[in-house]
Amino acid sequence: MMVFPRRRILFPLAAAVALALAGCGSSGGAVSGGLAKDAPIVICGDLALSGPYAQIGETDNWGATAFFKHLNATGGIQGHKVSYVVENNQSSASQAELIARKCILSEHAKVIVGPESGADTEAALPIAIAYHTILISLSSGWQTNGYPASELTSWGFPGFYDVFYEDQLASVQNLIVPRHLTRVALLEDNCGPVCLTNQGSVQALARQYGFQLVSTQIDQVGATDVTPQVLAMLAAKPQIILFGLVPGTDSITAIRAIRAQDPSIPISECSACELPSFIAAAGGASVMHNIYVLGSMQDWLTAASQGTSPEARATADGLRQYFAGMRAAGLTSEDQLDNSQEGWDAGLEINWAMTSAGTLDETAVMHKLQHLNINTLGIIWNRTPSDYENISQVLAAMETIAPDGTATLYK
Amino acid sequence: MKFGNLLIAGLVTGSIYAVFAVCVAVWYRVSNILNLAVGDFAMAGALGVDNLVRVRNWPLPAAIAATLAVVAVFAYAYDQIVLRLAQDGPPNGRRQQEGIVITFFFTFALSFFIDGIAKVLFGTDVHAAPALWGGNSLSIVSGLHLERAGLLVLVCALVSGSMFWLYIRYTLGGKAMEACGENRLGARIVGIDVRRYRRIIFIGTAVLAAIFGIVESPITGYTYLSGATISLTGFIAAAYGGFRKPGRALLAGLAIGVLEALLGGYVSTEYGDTVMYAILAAMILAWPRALGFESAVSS
Amino acid sequence: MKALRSTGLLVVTGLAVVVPFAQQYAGTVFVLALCYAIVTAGMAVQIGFSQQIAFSQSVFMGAGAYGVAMLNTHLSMPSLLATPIVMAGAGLAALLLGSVVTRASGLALAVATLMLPLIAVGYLSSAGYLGGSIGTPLTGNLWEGASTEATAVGNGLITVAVLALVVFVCTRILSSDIGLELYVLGVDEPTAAAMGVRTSRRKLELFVLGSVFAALGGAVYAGTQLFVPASLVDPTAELTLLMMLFVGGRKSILGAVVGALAIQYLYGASNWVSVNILIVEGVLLTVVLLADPDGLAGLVAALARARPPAPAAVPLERTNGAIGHARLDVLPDSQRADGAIGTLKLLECIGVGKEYGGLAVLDDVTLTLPGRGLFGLCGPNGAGKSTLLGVIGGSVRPSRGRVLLDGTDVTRLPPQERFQLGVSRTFQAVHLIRGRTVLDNVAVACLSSHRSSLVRGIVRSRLAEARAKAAEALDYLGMGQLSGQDVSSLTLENQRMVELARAIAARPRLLLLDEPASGLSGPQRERLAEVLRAAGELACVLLVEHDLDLVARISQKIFVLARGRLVFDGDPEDFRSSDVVNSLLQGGRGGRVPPP
Repeated sequence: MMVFPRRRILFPLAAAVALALAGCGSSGGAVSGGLAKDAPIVICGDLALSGPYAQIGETDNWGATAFFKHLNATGGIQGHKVSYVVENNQSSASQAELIARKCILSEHAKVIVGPESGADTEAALPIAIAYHTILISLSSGWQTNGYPASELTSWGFPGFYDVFYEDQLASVQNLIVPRHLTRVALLEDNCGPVCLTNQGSVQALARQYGFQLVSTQIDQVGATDVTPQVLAMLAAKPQIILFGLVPGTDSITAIRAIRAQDPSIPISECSACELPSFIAAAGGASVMHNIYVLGSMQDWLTAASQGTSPEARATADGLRQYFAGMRAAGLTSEDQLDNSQEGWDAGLEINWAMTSAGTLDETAVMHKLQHLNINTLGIIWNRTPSDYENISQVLAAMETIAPDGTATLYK
Repeated sequence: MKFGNLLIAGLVTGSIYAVFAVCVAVWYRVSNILNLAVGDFAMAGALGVDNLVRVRNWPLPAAIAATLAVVAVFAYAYDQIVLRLAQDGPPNGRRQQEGIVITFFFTFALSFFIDGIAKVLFGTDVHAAPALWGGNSLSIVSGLHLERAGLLVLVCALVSGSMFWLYIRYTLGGKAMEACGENRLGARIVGIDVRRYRRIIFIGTAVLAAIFGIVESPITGYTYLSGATISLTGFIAAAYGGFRKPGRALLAGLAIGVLEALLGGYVSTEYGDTVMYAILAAMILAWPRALGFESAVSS
Repeated sequence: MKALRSTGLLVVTGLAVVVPFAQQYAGTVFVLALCYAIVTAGMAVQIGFSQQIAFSQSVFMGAGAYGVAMLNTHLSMPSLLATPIVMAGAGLAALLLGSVVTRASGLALAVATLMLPLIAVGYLSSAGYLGGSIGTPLTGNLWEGASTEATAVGNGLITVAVLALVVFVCTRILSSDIGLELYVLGVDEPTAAAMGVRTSRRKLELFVLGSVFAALGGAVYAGTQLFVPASLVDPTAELTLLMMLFVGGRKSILGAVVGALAIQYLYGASNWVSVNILIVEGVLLTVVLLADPDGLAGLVAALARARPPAPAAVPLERTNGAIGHARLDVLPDSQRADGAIGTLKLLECIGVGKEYGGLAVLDDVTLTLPGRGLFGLCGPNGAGKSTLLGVIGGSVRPSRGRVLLDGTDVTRLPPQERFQLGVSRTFQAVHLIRGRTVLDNVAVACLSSHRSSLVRGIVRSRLAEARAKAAEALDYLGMGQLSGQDVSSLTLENQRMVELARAIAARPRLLLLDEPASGLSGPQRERLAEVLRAAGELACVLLVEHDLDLVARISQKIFVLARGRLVFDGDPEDFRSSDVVNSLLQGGRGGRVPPP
C-alpha cells in the first residue's frame, strides 16, 4: 500500500534531479581553462549608458564594440570569436556591482570592461576579484581614486592613463616650459580624490620644472557660476590658468567666467573641448581663442605621422587601425571618432594579453596583464605587478581651435 | 573690484534662478500645482534650437519658432491627457487628486519623461543654443565686467517678472487667473473657465521656460540632465518668494544668486554653497510666515 | 493580524528568493531592492500615510551606510553589531534635527528638508576621510559565512528579517489607534489638534521613525553591498526613493516594498529599458498615479475589495425611534458631565479681545457659562462669532483678555490640551476626514492614545475600544447604519450629524457648535433641535447660529455679538423683544424676530 505513493513521488523526483544535473552541466565548465572549440570569448561591458556618465559610457562602448568587431574580422583571439556584450550600470555604484555579477554569473564573461567612474569601479572591483575575473577599468586615475591598496595589484587593471595628470604634464611641456611662464593658477573640480590630486601633481611639476603655482581653486561639479574662484585666481596674477575639470558643463562655466574677467589669458587643458558640439555650446570658435586642448585622435595621428621614432610610427599605425575599425563599425561622426579611444584601448590590452599568454586561462592572462608592455594608441605602458599605472610615455598632441572652428595642431 | 564683479556674477546667476522661479510661482498661483518640470522645458528649448541650427542648419529665428511651437503643442497635449484626468476627474471618484503631495508628482514624472526624450533626440553631450547676442563681455566701469548673455538673462528676468506682476494685479484676466488658484470651485461658480486658464498658463509657463533656456544656455551649457538642477533652483527660489508671488520669487532668485556669489567669494569657494543651503534652511525654520508659508501649527 | 499577514507574506517570499538565489544575479537584485524597501516602508508611514513631506531620507540612509562603513573600517566592528549602534545614533540625530525641522508644516517642511541632501552633498564632497565625492568601501558583511555562498545567503536572510521587522512595526502602527491619529494629522492638522492629537509630538515621532528606518536601510545596504557611494545622499537618490514609494503605494507598507522591488527590477529588465529609464519611469509614474493616487497598492486594493453597493444615504427622519427621549437617557454616564453639575462657572471669558493687523475682530467680550445648558451666540456676519469660538476652543490666541475653564486659566493652552479638559467643537465647514469610514471619523474623538508614544502603537492598540465608543455615539444619534460608509458619500445633513456625533462622542463638558443647522431643511432642523436640547442637559453647549427662531426656541440664554462686541446677553423672551437686537438684525434679515 505504501509502495504505490512512493513510486509516484520517485519518478518526478528523479526527473527533477536529472534536469538539474543537465542544467548544471551546460552552465559549468566554460570558465576555467580552455573553451569549447568554437565557443566565443565573452567580454562584458559594465558601462554607463544612462545617467550622468552616459557620455563617457557611450564612447567607451563605441570604442570597445568597434575593436571587437575589427578583431573578429581578422580572426579573433586564438581562433575564438569575441562576443562583446554591454550592460548598463546607469552611472550607479550599486548597479555597477550588480552588473559585474551579472557579467560573471549570467554572461560567463572572461573579462569585464568598465566601469568608467571611480565610485562605480570601486563597487565592482571586489566582485571581479572575488570571482577571479579580469576587470579593465576605464576610470581615470588608478592609484588616486582611493581604492583599497589590496585591490590595486589584483584582478582589476587601469585601462587608461591618468588623464588629469597627463593634462597637466602636457600643459607644462607644451606651454609653460617653452614660453618660460612662471606664475600658474589651477582650477580643479571636486569630483573626488583623483580630481583633487591635480593640485599635488601640479605642485610636483612646479618643483620639477621651475614655475610657481600661485593659486589653486576648487569648483563644485555642476556649479552654475565660478566667478568667486576666477576672481581669486586672477587676484594672484597668473600667466596661465590650468584646468583639472570633468569634461562638460563645468568647462563652459569656467571658460565663461574667466573670459568675462580676462579675455586673453591662456587656458589649458580643456578636455573634450575640440568637439564641434562643445565649441558651439561654448559660444563659437571666437570664445575658444587661446584655449588649448589635448587633442583629437585625428591630430594625434597627424603628430605621430610626423614623428620619426619607432614609438611614433607604431602610434600612427595604431591610430590608423582605430579609424578604420571605427568606420567599419559605422561610427563615423566626428564626436564618435574623436572620443572612443578608451574602449578601443581596453580591447587592445585584452587582445595582447590573451594572445601573448597563448592560453585563455584567466590566471595566465592576468599575469600577462600585470606586465603590460604595449603601445595603445600613443600610451606606452610599462606595467609592473607592483605598479599597475606605470607609463613611460604618452604621445599626445596639443591643439588650439582655429577661428573657423576646426582643431589645429599646436606646436 | 571684487565685490562689484561678485555682485554682477551673482545677479546673473540669480536672474537664471529668478526666471524659473517666476515660472514656478505663476503656475502655482493659478493651479496649485508645483511645476517641477520647468527646468526640463528650458533644456528642451535650448537643445531643440541647438539641434535645428547646428545639425540641420536651420536659420536661427525659424529654429526658435519651431522649437517653441513644439513645446507649446507638447504642453497642450500633456494638459489634455494628464492634467485633465488628474484634476478634472469625476468628483469623489478615484481620480480626483487632492493635496500637493500627489499633484507635484505628476510634474516630477513629466520631468523624467522630457529628459528621457531629450536623451534620445539630442544625445548625451553638452549643448547650448546659439548666443543671441554675441561678442565679448562688456566692461561697465573699469574693472567691472558683465557678459552679454548675462545681461540678456537679467533683462528677461526683470521684464517677465514685472509683466506677470502687472498682469495679475491690474488686468481682469490676471485676476481671473488668480481666482482659479485661490478657490477653484468659487472661480467656476462665478463663471471663470478654470480649465482653460490652467491650460493657457501651463502652456505659457512651458514656453516661457523654453525661452529662458534658449537665452540662458550659452552661459552654462546644458546636457539632457540639466533640467533637474534648474527646476530645483527655480523651486527653491520660488519657495522663498512664498510660491504664489512672481514678483517676490524674482527678488528671491536674485537674492539667492547674490548670496551664493558673495559666500563663495568671501567665505569659502569649497563650502560656500553648503553654507548657503544651511542659511536658507534656517530662514525657513525661523520665519516661515514672513516668507509666505502657511503658519505652522505649533503647540 | 494584518501586520502578521503582511510580515508572513514577506518572510515567505524572501526565503523563497534568497535561499536558492542569493549568490546569483537575481538574488542580489532582490536583496538590494529590499535595502531600499526598508527605507520606503518608513517613508510610507511618514510621507504617505501622515503626509509629512520631508526630503531627508536619502541623507539618513547615507548616514546609516557611512556610519557602518566607518565603524567597520576604523574600529573593525562587525557590520551586524554596528547596525544597531548606527540606528541609535541616527535616532538621536533625528530627534535633534526633527525638533527644529518639524516646527514647520506642509510646504515649509518640504523646502526646509530639501536643503538637507544639498548640504550633505556639499559636505561629503570635501570630506576626504569619507572618501569625498566617490565613497567609501568596507569589508564587513552583515553575515560572515564560511563560504561566499553562505555569506550571500546570510546577508540575504538578515535583510529579509530586518525588512520583516520594519514592515511589522509599521503595519502595527498604522492599524493602531495611533495610526488613526496619524491619518487625521496628515489630512487635516487643525482638526487633529481640535480632537486632542498632540500634533507637534506626533510630527517629531514620525520624523524620527522615517529617519531611523532610513538609517537602518542604509546600514543594511552597506553590509550587503560593501561599498557606500557618495551618490547615496544625492537629491536624485531622494527622488528615486520617492518614486518607489509613489509607484508602489504611498499609504501602504507592502506597497512601498513592492515599489522598491518594481523599480529595482525595472533597472535590470533590459538594456532598452535601462537606457531609456527616464522615459519608462516617467510614463510609469504618470500612469500609475492617474489610475490610482495610492499607487499599485491602491489599484490592487480596489480590485480585490468587493465594493459593496453604497447604501442610499438614510435621512434622519427614517431612523425609526433612534432618537427619542428614551435613548437620550442612555448616554449620560460621563463622569465629567456629572462632575460639572451645578458648576456655575464652567467657562469664563474675561475681556477677550482679538486684533488682526489693527482691525479689532473681538473687543472686550465677557461672558460666563455654567456647567449645563444650551446657549446661543448670534450676530450678523463678520461679528466675530467664529473667532470667539476659536478663542474658546484654542485655535485662536486672543490679543487681550483671559479664558477660564472651570477656574483654570486656559488662555494660552493649545486646542489639544483643551480637548483633554473637555472642550469639543464642530466647524463651520464640515471637517470630516475623507478616506476613512464614518465610524473612524467619530472614533478620532474617542481615542485614549494621545499621551502615548508612537512605540506603544506597535504593542497595543485600543482602536477597538474607541470604535465601540464611537458606535455608541452614532447610535445615539441614529446614525449607526452609516458606520461603515466613507464620509465622502454622505449627504450634507448626515455629514453634519456625523460631526456632531464626533463632538459628542468625546463626552465633553463644553460643546462648541459652529452653525450646525446651516444647509439643513426644516424637518432636519427639528431633529437637530431635539438632539441639542438633550445635549444641553448633559453638558454646556454654546451654539453659533443664524437661525434665530431655532436659537430662541431651544436656548436658555442668548448672546449677541456685533462688530466684535457683546451687545446683548439675556433670555429668549428679552431677545425677541429687544430693540437693539431687532434693529441690528433687521438690516440684514429684514424683519423682527418671529414670536414663538
